[in-house]
Amino acid sequence: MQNFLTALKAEHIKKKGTGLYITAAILGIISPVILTIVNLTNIMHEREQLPYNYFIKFIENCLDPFATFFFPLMIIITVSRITQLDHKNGGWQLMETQPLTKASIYFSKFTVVLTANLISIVSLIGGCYLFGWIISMVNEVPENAALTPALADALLIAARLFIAGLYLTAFQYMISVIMPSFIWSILVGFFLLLAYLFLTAMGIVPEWYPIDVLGKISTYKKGSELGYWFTYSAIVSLLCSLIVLYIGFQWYRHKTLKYAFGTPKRAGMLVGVLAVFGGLLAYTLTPDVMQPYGKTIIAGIIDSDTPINKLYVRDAFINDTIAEIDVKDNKFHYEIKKNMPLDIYQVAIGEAGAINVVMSSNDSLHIAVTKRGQAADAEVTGTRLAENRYKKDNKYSWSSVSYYIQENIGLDDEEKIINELVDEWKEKMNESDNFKTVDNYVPRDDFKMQNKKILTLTYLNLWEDFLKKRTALYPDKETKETPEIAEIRKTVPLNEQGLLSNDEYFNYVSSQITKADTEDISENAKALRAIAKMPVGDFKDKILFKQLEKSIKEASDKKERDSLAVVYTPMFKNERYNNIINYKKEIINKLSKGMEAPLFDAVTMNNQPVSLADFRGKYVAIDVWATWCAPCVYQSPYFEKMAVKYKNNNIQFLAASVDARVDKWLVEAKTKSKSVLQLHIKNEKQFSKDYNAESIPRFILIDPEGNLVNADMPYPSEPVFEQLLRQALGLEEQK
Amino acid sequence: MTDCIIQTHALNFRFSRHKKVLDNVSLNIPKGSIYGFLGPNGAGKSTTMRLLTGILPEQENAITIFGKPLKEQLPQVFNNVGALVESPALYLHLSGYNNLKYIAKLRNVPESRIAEVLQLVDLAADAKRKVKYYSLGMKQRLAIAITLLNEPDILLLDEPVNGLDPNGMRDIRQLLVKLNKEKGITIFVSSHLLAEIEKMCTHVGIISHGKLKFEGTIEELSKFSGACKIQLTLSNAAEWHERLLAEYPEAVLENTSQVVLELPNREEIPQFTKKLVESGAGIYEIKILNGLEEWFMSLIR
Repeated sequence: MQNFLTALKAEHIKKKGTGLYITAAILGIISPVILTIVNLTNIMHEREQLPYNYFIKFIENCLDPFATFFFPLMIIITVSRITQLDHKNGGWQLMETQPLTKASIYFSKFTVVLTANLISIVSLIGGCYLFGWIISMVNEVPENAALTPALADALLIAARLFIAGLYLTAFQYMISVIMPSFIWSILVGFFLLLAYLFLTAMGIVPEWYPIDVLGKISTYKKGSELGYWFTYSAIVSLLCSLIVLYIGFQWYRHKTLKYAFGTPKRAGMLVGVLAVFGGLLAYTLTPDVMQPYGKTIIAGIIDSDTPINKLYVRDAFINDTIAEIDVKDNKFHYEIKKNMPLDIYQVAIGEAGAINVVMSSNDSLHIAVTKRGQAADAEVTGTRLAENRYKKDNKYSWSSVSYYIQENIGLDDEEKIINELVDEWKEKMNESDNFKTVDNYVPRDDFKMQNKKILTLTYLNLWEDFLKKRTALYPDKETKETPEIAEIRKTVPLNEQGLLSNDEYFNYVSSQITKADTEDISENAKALRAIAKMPVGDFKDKILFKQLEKSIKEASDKKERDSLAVVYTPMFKNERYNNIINYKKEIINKLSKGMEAPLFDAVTMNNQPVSLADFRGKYVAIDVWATWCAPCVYQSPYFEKMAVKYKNNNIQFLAASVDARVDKWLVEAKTKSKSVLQLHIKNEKQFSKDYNAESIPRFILIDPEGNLVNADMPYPSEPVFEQLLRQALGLEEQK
Repeated sequence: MTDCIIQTHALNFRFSRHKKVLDNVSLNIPKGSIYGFLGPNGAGKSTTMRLLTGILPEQENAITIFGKPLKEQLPQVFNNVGALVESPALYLHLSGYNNLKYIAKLRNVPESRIAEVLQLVDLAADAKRKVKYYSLGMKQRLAIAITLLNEPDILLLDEPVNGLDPNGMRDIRQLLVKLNKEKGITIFVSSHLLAEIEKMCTHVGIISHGKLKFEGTIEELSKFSGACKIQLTLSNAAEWHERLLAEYPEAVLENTSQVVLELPNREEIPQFTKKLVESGAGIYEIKILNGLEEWFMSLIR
């Protein structure tokens, strides 16, 4: 050990004037500098609405360029330079003719490289604090950003980076010590960097790839979801670096591979090391699966700006409430006794919206909810950790075949589209199979199976679209279903009720059961006809419910709705569906033309109470909106334009806000046009129910008698809005 | 030989199955000697040197140093051994002083010693300059200075005068002789220049094609080399040539004043001269023509 320390101190004399540590520091600080320039030149709008730490966020933003580029680059350069110092000057022999053990020589130089790594990381983090602070002086700091140092978090990021860097460092070091020419070590290093880009693009980076371990730091900036300091990939890095250090040192010590591992004893040692550490590595890389718990538990904590006293668990199909959970001291714990098939369930957070949770019976989930205003986020852990992470991560992915079919590109080349479709489907299946969380957990098989079916639906529906387009464009050419497509089709059965909460499955089944029906009637009518012929059962109930709901919503008048209900509701086995359909039908009927508009109370900006009834004698156009709703904000100016244009007519334009926070509404409302009367709805929940307002913006037109002209107007940005308005006001059509 | 500080016992080394670089080389380096290890390029000098320093791992266990196997003593043995292999191994980006400081740190030698060795190799004035600006001779001296830092008992020097001009060669030579005399350091020095070795060594080993051809003291060397050729400068050379031919049939008349002939060995010279003088020859000069050089050439051919 004394020997090693002596060697290490001597190494520091040797590296004088090489600027090794300075280079490391510079390559560390580049990322924060770049980010700062970007930040100061374009004002970036932080969309984050939940609280976060300003500095940690800054560091996390730097991890992308640092972890997969500047840090590996720094390692490659440093390792090459420190070994060249001795390759160039005959230093290896010089060192070997000193009273130094070879271990001291090998590992003292390695320690210098590790010190450079550390300096680079410290320089990154320090740079982030420094430049973050400078930006905070120049630009406005978002109100939900905390400016506390959060040193513990920064330290953990630093430690994770350091450990992830060990493997690449050990590997490059081995190459550079063995190969005297600097070209090779640099070449190998850059090859690793480049190959990583290609492998990532193809999605086939092996987990033992030196740069992948670093890549995981930038992919999973927050680290473990389960609260561990280090994830399995840190252990992978450690084990791999131990193996590489062993091989590298033996190789250096005995000069050639033959002498290093050629004798039976040394070969035996190598096999031993590989068996022990390789075995540990294999064990570490084997994914874990969470086992069912035995009871169905939902528990968790809530961090919210408004008090939340109750949570509601609803099924995703008919929004039936499965459980009503009391929240005490921002904590909850509840056992659900009902049977819950594997599906996506909604957990409604008080009145502020809902989060989607994948679960089934016998799962124990922990949900950590953070909520500020309308923004909410939930971290789901527990026995469906991987499943929920998968759903959260896979919101959208680009599909070229979908683009081709949608935009009619290359539809004449049947074979190409089919190949593309099949390839993309296979890729998706692979992706689903290979998904794992940052903590190396994979979804359970039941989820994987179901997920594959859902993913397949996209492609089956694409296939149907393609077929339809082909028939329209090339009626004389028959497009045949290939064996591959048939293979895809086999994945999804036509009678799986568990999938019916998924719209794509519903569309697919509809298209399949109406295929043979060539009569010239609407798709809705065809579907209902086909469903009616199905055998009685849960599946029929569910699909009929979905189709009937859709048909009633899209029906043109009350008469049609009533007759649909009369013909089809008796087919339900389960009375509950019958009731819901009738209820929904009634609401829609109530909102049809000529029905009395439900009244509501509101306040003006001066806090004066107003009722809808106050506007009798005038037409009333209502814009239902909220400050947090981007499409509403987009539509507002068009609505105001109408208000200005028709201010001399017998019509009152109202903007009715459903914001939870009156103060926020007031600030925004004051900036709006005076031609529109700004109101805040008192009981927005009741309002939503009365007007069946599932989403906003929503535009409503009411006549002077207080009856509905149109409860769901098109958006004012579309010309048809003005047409309908003029029609109602009795003005002639614009030319 | 008694009291050998370094010994090899039938040292063999092969890079591959068929190519034997060293074949049965047994070296005996007496304590306090300057041992010249002589041989043409490619004879196995450097390989021997690298084996002696442990840079090349030994394939058998044939080397003993300080009476114990070398393998068991690596790397502590370098506390007492200074080695200069494939010279000069220096860090060009560092100053002469820092090069020494680096080794001083490794060998746990106080920094005050640096000035002493710089003085010893006459580099004190250039200590602060970077080594990349040094001349070859200066680099060579600095490399030797490095080996001297901790006053070793043995110096192993591989071609220390290679590439130097005659002045440089003389400086190094004088330095080594001085070190040997004053500090009693045993010096093992390899070279392909016979003249260099002859001038400073007390013992010689000659290697050729991986085999040791000769080992012994300088005196033994000249004895071993056999007949001694001399050149006589005398008046009436032609006449004396005739007379000498009777006894020395190989005598050659070089020119009008010089005759070259061969005596059985050096020891014959006084007797031979006495006889000539007594016979009335007018001798101006008797010069030994170096037979060693020729013998060496035939040895390593």
